[in-house]
Amino acid sequence: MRILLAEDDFVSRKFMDKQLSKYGECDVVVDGEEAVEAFMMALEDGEPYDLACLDVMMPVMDGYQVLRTIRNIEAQRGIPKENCIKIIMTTALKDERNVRMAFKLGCEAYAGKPIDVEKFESLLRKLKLI
Amino acid sequence: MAEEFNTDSMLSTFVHESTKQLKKLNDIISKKQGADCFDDADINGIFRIMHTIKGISGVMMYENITNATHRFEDVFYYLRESHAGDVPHKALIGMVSALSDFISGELLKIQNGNTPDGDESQIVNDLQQFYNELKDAVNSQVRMAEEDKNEDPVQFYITSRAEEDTYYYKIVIHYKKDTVMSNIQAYSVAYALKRVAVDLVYTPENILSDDSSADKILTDGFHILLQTRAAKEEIMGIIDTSDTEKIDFDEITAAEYRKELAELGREEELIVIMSDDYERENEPDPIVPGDYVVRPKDTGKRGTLVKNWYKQQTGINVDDEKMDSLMELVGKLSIAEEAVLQNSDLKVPGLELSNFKNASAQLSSIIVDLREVVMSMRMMSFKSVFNKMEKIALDVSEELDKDIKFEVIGENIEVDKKIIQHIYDPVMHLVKNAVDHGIESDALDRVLQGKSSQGQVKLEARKDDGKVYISISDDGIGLDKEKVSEYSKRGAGMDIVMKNIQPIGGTLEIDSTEGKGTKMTLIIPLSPTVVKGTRV
Repeated sequence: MRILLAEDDFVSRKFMDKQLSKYGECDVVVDGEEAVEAFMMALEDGEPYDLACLDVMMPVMDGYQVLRTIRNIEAQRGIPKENCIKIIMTTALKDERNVRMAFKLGCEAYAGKPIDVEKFESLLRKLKLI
Repeated sequence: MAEEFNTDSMLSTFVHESTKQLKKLNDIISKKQGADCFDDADINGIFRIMHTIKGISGVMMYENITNATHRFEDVFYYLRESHAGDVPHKALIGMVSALSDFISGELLKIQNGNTPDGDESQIVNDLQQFYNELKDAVNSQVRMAEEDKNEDPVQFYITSRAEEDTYYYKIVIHYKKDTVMSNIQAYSVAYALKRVAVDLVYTPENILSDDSSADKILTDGFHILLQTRAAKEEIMGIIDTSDTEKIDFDEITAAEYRKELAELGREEELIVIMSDDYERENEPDPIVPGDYVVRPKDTGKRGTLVKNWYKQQTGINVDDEKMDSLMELVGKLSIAEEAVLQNSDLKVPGLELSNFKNASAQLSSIIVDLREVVMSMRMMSFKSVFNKMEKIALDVSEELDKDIKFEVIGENIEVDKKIIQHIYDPVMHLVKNAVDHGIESDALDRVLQGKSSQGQVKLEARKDDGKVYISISDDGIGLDKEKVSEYSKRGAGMDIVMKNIQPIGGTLEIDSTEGKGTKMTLIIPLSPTVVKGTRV
C-alpha cells in the first residue's frame, strides 16, 4: 500500500517511517502544506495513497486543516467513500475535545503518542489496510 | 489515584460511561436475582447496555470487552425478538454477573494504567453453549436480523502506550568547576536520554547555540526533567559521569512533574486578562482546524504554536490597572521616540547620522513590536458577550411568550477588551428592547403582514475602517419618525446606552422603518487607547 506520513518532529518521523515502511511504500513530509501537496500529486498521478498518518501540531497547516482539506478535495471530486484515503491522526493531544473534533472532520482513527505499535497494527487490520 | 494522573480524557470518558452502564446492569441483576425470569424491559435494557459498551469499547479498541459484549448483545437481541419462554434464568443471570465482574476487572486495569488483557473466552464459550441449547429447545425461527445492532465502529481511538508505567525524574547534574565545554557534555547527556525518554525538558534550554550556557551549567547545574520507562539504574548508566561532581536524582510523581514543567514555563499556558466576570464563566473556545499550526522553530528553540505566539503557557492574571498603565507607557514611549528621532538638534546641516539612523530604525521596530504585543494581550472576542445576549434574548422572549430566532454574527471578531467591557450594558439593553418592543406581541400580526411567525433578532459585529460596528436588528414593528428622534435624544432608556459608549468615543445610529423593523448600530473606534505619537 501507499502511505503518506506528515510529521515535523525528527524523532517521531524516523520512528513512524520505520514502522510504516513495514506495510508499504512510505512518503514523508514535514509540514501540513506539503502533506496536501503530496496528496494532490498522488491523486493526479492516479496513484493515490491508501493511508495518511497526520501529526496535529505542524508548521504552515496543522493536521486538522490537512484532514479537512483532503476530505473536501475528495468530496469535490466525488470520490466514493470506499476509495477515500484512510486517515489516522497521530498526536500527543489527547483531550476529548480534540478527539471529537478530529472524528467530526472525518478521520478514521486518532492515535495518542507515544504510539502503541501493537494496537496500531490491529487498527490497520480493522481498516482492512493489511 | 490513577485517575488524577490520567491526562487522557478519552480514557476517562470511556471508564466513566462504562461504569455508568455497568451500574445499570448490576441494578437489573440484583433486582432480578430471585425472580423467575427477566421481563421484556430488563431484556431490552440489558441489550442496550451491551450495545453501548460494545460500541465505546470498539472505538477504544478493547477487543476482549467488545467481543464479550457483542456476544451478549446477540443473545439478548435473540431473547428480545423471540420472546422465548422457559429461559433458564439462573444460568443466564449467572453469566450476566460473570460478564459484569469481567468488565469491572478490566476497567480497574484501565484505570490503573494497565492494558485490559483479560481473557473473555470462558465467558463467551459458556454463553455460546447456553445459546445453542436455548435455540435447540425453543427451535424458533428468529433470524439474527442485521438491523441497527451490528454496525461496527468506523472510527477508532488508540490510547498511547500506558503513561502510568513511566517514571518521572528530576535530575540535576553538577559538573566539576574546571570542566571545559560543559554545554557539550550536557548536550551529550540530553541526546543520550532522548532515546529512552517519553518526554524530556532541560535547562538551560539553548545549550548549543547560547555560549553563555556553559557558565550557567557550571554555576547552577544542568537541570533535566525526564519522563521515561527506564529505571533509575538504567538512566544512571546512560549519563556520562566522568566530569560530574554530583548528580541529584529524584523520582517525582506525575503531578510534581507537571508542576516543575509549569515552573520552567514550558507548559502551554494562556494569559488570561481577568476582571471580566462574564468571560470567566464561559466555556473554553472550541478547537478549530488551524489552532495547532506550529511556528517554525528558530534555530535552537522549541517550536511554538502560532496561535499562542503572544500567549505564554499557564496564564498569568494581570489586573486591569497594570494593563492600562502598561498601555499608557507604550503610548508615551511612542511619543518620546518621535521626540528623539525628529529632534531639531539633529537638523544641523552636515551631521554624520548614519549610525544614529541605523540604531534608531532598530529602536523603532522594537517599539512597533512592543505595541503589537501589548495590543494583542488586550484583545478579546465578542463571544462571551454575544453568548450571554443570546441567552438573555431567549429568556425575555420566553417570558413574553414570543417566538423568536436569535442570530449571532461575527462573535469571533476581536477588539480591545475595553470595548467589550463598555458595550455589555448597552447591547443588553438594545437586545431586550428589540425582543420586548420590537417584535410584535401577537404572531398573528406578523403573519398578516407577510412576515414569518417567528420574530428575527440579529446581533452582528463587524470591523471596518478602524471602527467596529455592533448592530442589533429586528424585523418587528419598527419606529415612527417621532420615536426615532426621541430615542436619539436619549429618551426611552437610551441614556444608559450613551453613558457607556461615549467614554470610548462611540456613537449610536438608528435605522428604522415602520412595520419593517429596527436596526440599532453602535459605532466604536477601534483601539481607543494607544494613539501614535505625533511630531513635537
